[in-house]
Amino acid sequence: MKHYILYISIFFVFKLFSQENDFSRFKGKPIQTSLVKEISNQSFWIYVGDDYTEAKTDQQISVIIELIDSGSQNVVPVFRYNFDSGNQNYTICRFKIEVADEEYKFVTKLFFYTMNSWKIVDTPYYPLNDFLKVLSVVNEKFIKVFLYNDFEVENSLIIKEIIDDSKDSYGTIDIKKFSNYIENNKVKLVDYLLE
Amino acid sequence: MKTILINIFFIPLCALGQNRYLSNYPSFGLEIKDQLVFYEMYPNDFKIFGKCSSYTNCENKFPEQTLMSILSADNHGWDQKNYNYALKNNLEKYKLINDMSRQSVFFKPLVKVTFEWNKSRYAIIKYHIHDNDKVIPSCNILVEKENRWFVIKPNGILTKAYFMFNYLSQKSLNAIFTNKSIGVKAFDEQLESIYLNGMLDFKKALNSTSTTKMTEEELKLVLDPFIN
Repeated sequence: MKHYILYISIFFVFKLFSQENDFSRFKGKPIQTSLVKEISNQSFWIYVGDDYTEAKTDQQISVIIELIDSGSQNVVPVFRYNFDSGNQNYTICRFKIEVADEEYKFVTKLFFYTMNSWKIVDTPYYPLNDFLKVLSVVNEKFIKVFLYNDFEVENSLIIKEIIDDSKDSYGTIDIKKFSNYIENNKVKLVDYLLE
Repeated sequence: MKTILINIFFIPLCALGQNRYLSNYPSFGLEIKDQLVFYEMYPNDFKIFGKCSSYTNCENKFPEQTLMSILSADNHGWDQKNYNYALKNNLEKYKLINDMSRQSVFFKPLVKVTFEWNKSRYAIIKYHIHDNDKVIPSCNILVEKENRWFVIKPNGILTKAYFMFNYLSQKSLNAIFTNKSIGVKAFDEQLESIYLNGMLDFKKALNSTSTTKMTEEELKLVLDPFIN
């Protein structure tokens, strides 16, 4: 009988101890919630001529340009979108490359910063692929309307609609929605996409 | 020779010209995974004591375990492993942890919300620090990396979440996540406005302000009772 009581006591002490340390039981109940959380440390740069006195100098872009295997001496940066994802610094850059006399092509690439240097991301995974997809297809006119709210640009209403439909009530643009709208409205957006 | 000289001088000048930029700050974001948060209200008798003898003993496999590790860490090297940002070597703090009674100082977790965003899991925990007869409200936001949880410095929308969890009472937070009124008119009106077709608009909840004034008694219900 004594042994029986002792075993029960040990069992309860052990059960209490293991329950106290069993944090896996706090999984929580699922609650349907809408929340678009902003990407960390975003900045968008448009490269300009020397006549813009308020423009700053980008010390890193010449290093990034060297990573582009363009075969051309004339590579001009167009824009750069910097952001953090998973504690890593990324940048999406577009370049205008002269391929022949007065003949240009645009190249948009994703880079990440590691071991004190920039490297090209060849196969971006979600969500970085969505960022790259959007920024690879839109033209400078689109960026101007989107970034500087310059709705004076001709026929810019369609962009305003896309922005309004893909942002939440506090102005954060859901990149997934944004990317889908562009993908599904390519005909309407013909003036704002690269050829 | 002339061409080389021109190239040497011209190309760097060109490069300098290209380097000038104008910046802007867009606001791109991502929806949380499956539009789901997981809400936990801890049992009343659940307490976390600083009873780990070392970091390996704590492991930080759960957000609650990281809190336990924080309360146990008696040196800078160990404490740093609980955070994903640089901590100062606060000798006074580690001396206090070493000297404190492991039974009279503990954390009492109240509510937790977890969600997945951009392939990382996040947890927001509201808890009370019990230090003998003193009670201090607190909150930590944690992220999971390689199967371990770290406290992060909140930014953007998470800063608002930090203040919300720190300042509101357990009852108010429970009301927000379970869509249950608490009998305070001004609060219940706000609650009604943050749900649309049964779905919680978390950002709206974080930005919601009441136009109706609350009485002292009502504020005591809505706010954490230990907020100064």
